[in-house]
Amino acid sequence: MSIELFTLLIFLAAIAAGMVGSLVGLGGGILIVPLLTIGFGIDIRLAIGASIISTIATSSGAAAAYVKDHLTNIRVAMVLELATTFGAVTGAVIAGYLDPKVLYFLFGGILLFSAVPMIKKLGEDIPKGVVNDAIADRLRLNSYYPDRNLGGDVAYNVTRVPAGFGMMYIAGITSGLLGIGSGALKVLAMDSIMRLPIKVSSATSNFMIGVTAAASSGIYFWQGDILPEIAAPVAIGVLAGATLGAKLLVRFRSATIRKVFFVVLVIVSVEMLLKGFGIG
Amino acid sequence: MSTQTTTTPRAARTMEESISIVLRVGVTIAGAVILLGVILSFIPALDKGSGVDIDELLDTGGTTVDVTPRTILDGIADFDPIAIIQVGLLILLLTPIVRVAMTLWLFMRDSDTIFIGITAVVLVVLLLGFAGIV
Repeated sequence: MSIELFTLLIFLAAIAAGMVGSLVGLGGGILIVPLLTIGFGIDIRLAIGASIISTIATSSGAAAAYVKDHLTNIRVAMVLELATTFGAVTGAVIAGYLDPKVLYFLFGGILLFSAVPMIKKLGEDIPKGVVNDAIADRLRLNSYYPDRNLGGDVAYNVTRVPAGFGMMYIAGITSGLLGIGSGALKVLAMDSIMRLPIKVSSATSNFMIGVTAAASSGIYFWQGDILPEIAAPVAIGVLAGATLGAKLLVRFRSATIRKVFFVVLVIVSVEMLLKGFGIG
Repeated sequence: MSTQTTTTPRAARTMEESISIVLRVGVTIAGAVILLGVILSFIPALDKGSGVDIDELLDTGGTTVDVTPRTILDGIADFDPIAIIQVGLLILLLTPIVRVAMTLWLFMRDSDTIFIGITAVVLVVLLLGFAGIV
């Protein structure tokens, strides 16, 4: 294969990953790592390096759109970024000591784990009867967002902040370890634990992903794990895909988004687990 | 049950617009610089041989070469497309960090003490991580 064809194929794959990634509130990295390792046979360390780039690109590209649509809760994001950045740095340091097989295994396991709670509440649009906890009150985390399908602004409260914060630290470690945005865990923390509406969870997750990934990216970059030949087509492709995905998000119903999210999670996690067991 | 927001919609909108602009500008510049590097790398005369061949790329055996500000600057002086791509990648890595710095400034302007503290700590962690110090 020529380098030109290789670049083009990675570029096209990255467009698809970026689009799906931004639609379901994932960093796109979650799809880039399996694509590069399983699809192209690239070393998982380099896949993780390229993935961090795609993660930052997706997040920033899509977040620019969501923030203006008032889907993102910036205050919630800022508080939780405290947990994710510390976690990300922890993860990037640990990653240097782990066998690649362990990385595959962790990758698959974390995805499968985060898919399970999604089945239970599949399809619920707006959480009902949520009351602010003391921290949410003190930090004024509750807000509102415009929902086109429901026609008008929807006010929402935020609960169980400490538990969500703890989950976010784990999401940060995972992110630093695997080069993904850990959007799955972030959405889980905000949607299932803190009970934010799914669209707000997705948009806020996307917003936080770039900062989480940036915390560990320097470590990977200076180690030379971010190979320009791979990272460049991935970055540009994912940017194009994410921009497209963000334009589509406001038109889909929350239930549709959750179903796509669930299917994607299960497929990817099984593939990565097989790799971890040395089968795939 | 508190459903009213204490931040005025106008202030919130301004912060959202500023953040949106930072992200858009950072990503656009990074994308353009990376794209420039990729296009230049397709010009045979500029190929410094630093572009590894595919087989080598697919199987590194876990060894990678350290990148330093020095190697990037040398590459640029040499008009190496790979170094140009690396500059673009660095701009992309810096974009979320600039976003947080901007958010800090906006919280300072609003004298929002708790959030100034939170954002400042996040910014410090990000800068240490970016420098690869941790």
